Amino acid sequence: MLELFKQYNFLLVLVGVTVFSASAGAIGVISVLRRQSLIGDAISHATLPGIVIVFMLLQTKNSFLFLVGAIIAGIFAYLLILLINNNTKIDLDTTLAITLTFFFGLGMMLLSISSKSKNAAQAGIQEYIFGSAATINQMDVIMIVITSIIVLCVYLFLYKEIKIFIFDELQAILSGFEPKIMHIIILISSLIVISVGIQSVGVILVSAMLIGPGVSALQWSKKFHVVVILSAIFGAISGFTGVLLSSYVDKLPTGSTVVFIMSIITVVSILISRLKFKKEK
Amino acid sequence: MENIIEVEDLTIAYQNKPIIWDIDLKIKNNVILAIVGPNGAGKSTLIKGILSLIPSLSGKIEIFGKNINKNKGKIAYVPQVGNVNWDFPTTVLDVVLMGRYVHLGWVKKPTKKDKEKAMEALKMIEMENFADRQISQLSGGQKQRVFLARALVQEAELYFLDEPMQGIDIKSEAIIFDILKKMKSEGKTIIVVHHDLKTVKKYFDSVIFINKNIIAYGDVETTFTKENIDKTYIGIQDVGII
Repeated sequence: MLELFKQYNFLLVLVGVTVFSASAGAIGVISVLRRQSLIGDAISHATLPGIVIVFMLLQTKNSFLFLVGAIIAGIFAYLLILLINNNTKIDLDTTLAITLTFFFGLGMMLLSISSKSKNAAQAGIQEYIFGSAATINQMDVIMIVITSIIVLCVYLFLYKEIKIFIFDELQAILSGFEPKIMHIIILISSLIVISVGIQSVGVILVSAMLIGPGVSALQWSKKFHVVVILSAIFGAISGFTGVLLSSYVDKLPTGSTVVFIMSIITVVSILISRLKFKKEK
Repeated sequence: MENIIEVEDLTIAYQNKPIIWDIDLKIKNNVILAIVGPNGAGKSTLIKGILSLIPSLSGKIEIFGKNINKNKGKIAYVPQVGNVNWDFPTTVLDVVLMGRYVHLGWVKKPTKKDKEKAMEALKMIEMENFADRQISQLSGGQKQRVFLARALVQEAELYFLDEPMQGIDIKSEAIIFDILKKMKSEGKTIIVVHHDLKTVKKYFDSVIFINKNIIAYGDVETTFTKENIDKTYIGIQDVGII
């Protein structure tokens, strides 16, 4: 076991995935409480075409450029969701399903086209669908740490604004906290977290890391700051144990193991909370 | 008495269906005013429109002679209980403290003084023992009182309340109207969307009848007449009045 911890690459993966999972848990609480969990899902699927287009245009595998592409595509998806939602009578669920499949389909299509080109490097891109934590390098870890610091700052400086935004948006408007600004801050924070996370967890499963920790934490506490901290801890635990487990068991993929552990935590939390509730009754 | 709200030609539509139209309104200072009308008459829409919380097709609105955005902090709004997220994990005291946010601006945190003010407001609504209570555990009347406390700590001049009596107990109703009366005596203006025609005379001094547009507006004594009620609730049997 100790041997493993001495390997630099293993440490990079361990730190990267754990820190990413913690920040995803923390920022995800907001959309869980706003009952908009699926927006994160739609947006994370939408990052795929962004990454593939960056690769096709620039023929690079630079993860910072991928991050930029992912963010731009995510913003596009979000604007499309808003456009449909504000101008038609289509339900938000339906809109999200349309957006998700449209962008993901586009991404898969582009991926297939690009894989027919002669550049062999696209092998790396396919890993963004299901994630490949082993490819995390030092630069990725630095980006993950920076995004986590950004998430931390959002909570430290805008804690009261976030609370009023979630609880009562009209009161936020009347108090001078323009919800548009809050939407943008939370969207961008979620997007950068998603974008640095897809490399390890993949576009399909990354939203689980935004939703699972928040849902679990809400079963344990009724205080917002405790929920946020717990959510980060649950994320971190699943990231940490997921990486450890997948490095011990042969052929166990890291990303899906992390998500699987997160799901177990969520189910157990819900069950225990139901049991407690019944007892109180 | 001067007018503190002037509304000209306000029309609001939702998905191409007009809800209220051609609203002209001048509201005097220091009144306690009921907005009454049948379901779907646009009562809540009117106050949300005055507060610019929803987009309007046309209309000019001035509050205290200025645009609403220049009056932040002077206006408090109490939404319908169902319009906020009661599953949000927080305490009663925390919700009341939100009334102070408008005076803090971005980033700044509430101070000890703000907390004291919030506790004082909780005493006024007779809920000081509920400060640490989860908001999800409150009854309808308690939620409504907490909202009123939040509006109180805002220390505003003008208060809008959207159906504060909906589904509440007698005790809460008495507490709320005692406070509203006291606020009026302190020179505040209070505008209430009200459902119960039976209590208009008891609690209010002015009344607006609305049904898509303003039917009548004036002092309760002269305006709250059978004729105006019939005009507003046209075709509706048994409105259970006076």
